[in-house]
Amino acid sequence: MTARRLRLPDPLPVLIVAGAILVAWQLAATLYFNASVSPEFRDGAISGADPKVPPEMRVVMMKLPLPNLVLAALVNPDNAAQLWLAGLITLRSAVVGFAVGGLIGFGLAVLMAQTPLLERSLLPYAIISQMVPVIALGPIVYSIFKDENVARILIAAYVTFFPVTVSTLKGLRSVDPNALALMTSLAASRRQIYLLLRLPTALPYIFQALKIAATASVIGAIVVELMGAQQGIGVTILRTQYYGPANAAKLWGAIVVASILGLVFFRVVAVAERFATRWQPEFRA
Amino acid sequence: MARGLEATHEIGRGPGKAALRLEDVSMTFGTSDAGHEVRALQNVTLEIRSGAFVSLIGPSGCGKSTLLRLLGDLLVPSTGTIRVNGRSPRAARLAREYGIVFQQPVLYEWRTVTRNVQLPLEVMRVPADERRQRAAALLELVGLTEFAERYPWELSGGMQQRVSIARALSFKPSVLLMDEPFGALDEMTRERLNHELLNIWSETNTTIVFVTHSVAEAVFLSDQIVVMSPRPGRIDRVIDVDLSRPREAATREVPHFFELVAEVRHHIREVDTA
Repeated sequence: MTARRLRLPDPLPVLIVAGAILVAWQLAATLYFNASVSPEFRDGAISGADPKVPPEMRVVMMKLPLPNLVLAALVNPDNAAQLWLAGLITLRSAVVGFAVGGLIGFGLAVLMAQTPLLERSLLPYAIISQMVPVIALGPIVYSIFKDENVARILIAAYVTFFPVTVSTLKGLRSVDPNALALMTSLAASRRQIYLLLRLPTALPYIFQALKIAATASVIGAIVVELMGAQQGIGVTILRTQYYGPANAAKLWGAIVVASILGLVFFRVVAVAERFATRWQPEFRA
Repeated sequence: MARGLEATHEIGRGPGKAALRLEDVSMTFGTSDAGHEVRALQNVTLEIRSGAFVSLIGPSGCGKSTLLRLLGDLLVPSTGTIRVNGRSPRAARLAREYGIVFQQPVLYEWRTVTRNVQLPLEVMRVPADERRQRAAALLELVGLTEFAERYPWELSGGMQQRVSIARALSFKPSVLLMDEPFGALDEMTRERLNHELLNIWSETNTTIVFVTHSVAEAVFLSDQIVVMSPRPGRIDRVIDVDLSRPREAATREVPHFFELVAEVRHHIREVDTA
């Protein structure tokens, strides 16, 4: 337990891995590009604008783009503002949907925890709801609400509520029997038992679900954008794909933006968890 | 010194009203139609006077923990009646007459030491100022003042159990139910906590019912020791511990202490092989 471990400052290990991936990617992409594209077509294959470039050489950048070009697309003022704005539009809806879905999921769990009868009658429907693919729901949601913000929020809430319900239910039931006996011996009310014992016990379980839901809600919002939105990072991904190899770097830039948003959202929830449940063994100083 | 099986076992120091009374109490777990009936206790009759320190001892499966849970209204007896200060166990529980200490400290790990001690007072809606004062006084009593703002995992097992005792005493319950509270501790810590418990008890008027596996502990602490026999759980006999108080480290070395330990041990062996 007391063995000395290498402890790097927090963002450093992540950045080292990111650097390693970038270097490996750059090497592999450069080798692949040089091997597949003959020298006279290289500029044309990158810009995508030269019609003389043979088709099999045009798609090389789509398959494995050069990271330096992706990074350039990300910081290029023309692209960057558009990419990050699209990303924030998606993230905003995902966060709202996450909050709504989290509250609904929590409420459902508290309801089901009241009696086994309620759990038996409601939980199967919660499970069935997760068997309906978002791909099938998207067009239905658009046809009913005709608003892409509502669609994004609904789908983000839809993918959030289920893990929150299942984990919260488990957490509320994971109370130490003796801790409960203590409350009983103190003649605590049902409400006091919830607030003072069941909720704190459930909190680590709830955060586990929220971390899963944080990334899932971003993905849900992006997927629903593919089916009819006008704005958002999902739309950017779709359009850059349609417009062909000339947009390869921007397409990958959009993917990077989407990943960063998911990562940031996850980290925000993880920091909130550390703050709200400091007693957990992993957070003990 | 030992009283017979048939008599009503009356326990306590000198005159005083009975704090706890069990009459012909039996406890059966499981349903008869399922065929998995377990008789945990059979025809237990016992009286414990107010302010007494009584230990329940006996082999595994003799129902001592069940008896404790029946007294605290955490279980309801199959037959028989229990009175606690003249009330039903349920009425006594609702009147907050019980402090409970388990073998594990059962501290709420998201609360600091002082907030753990204050927990019963929070449940009882005692104002925050008073809560803090009482917790401070109790932590001083158990010698943990400097650990008030620490979290349970920062404390040793013995310290955690002291917090658990402070928590049980925080609202001045008239009955303290202790279910092998020192069973998980090493012997040196256990002996030290035995002394502390007697000091605390002498400063309160609490009636203590104490379940233990340790004969020496039972003899050192108790006014009376209830020896129970297993399958089904019954009271075999009640042994008076006529060692003078206050009891100190030297008490463990007087010949009569060893005689009593031998006597209790003898009866436990008897009921276990019967």
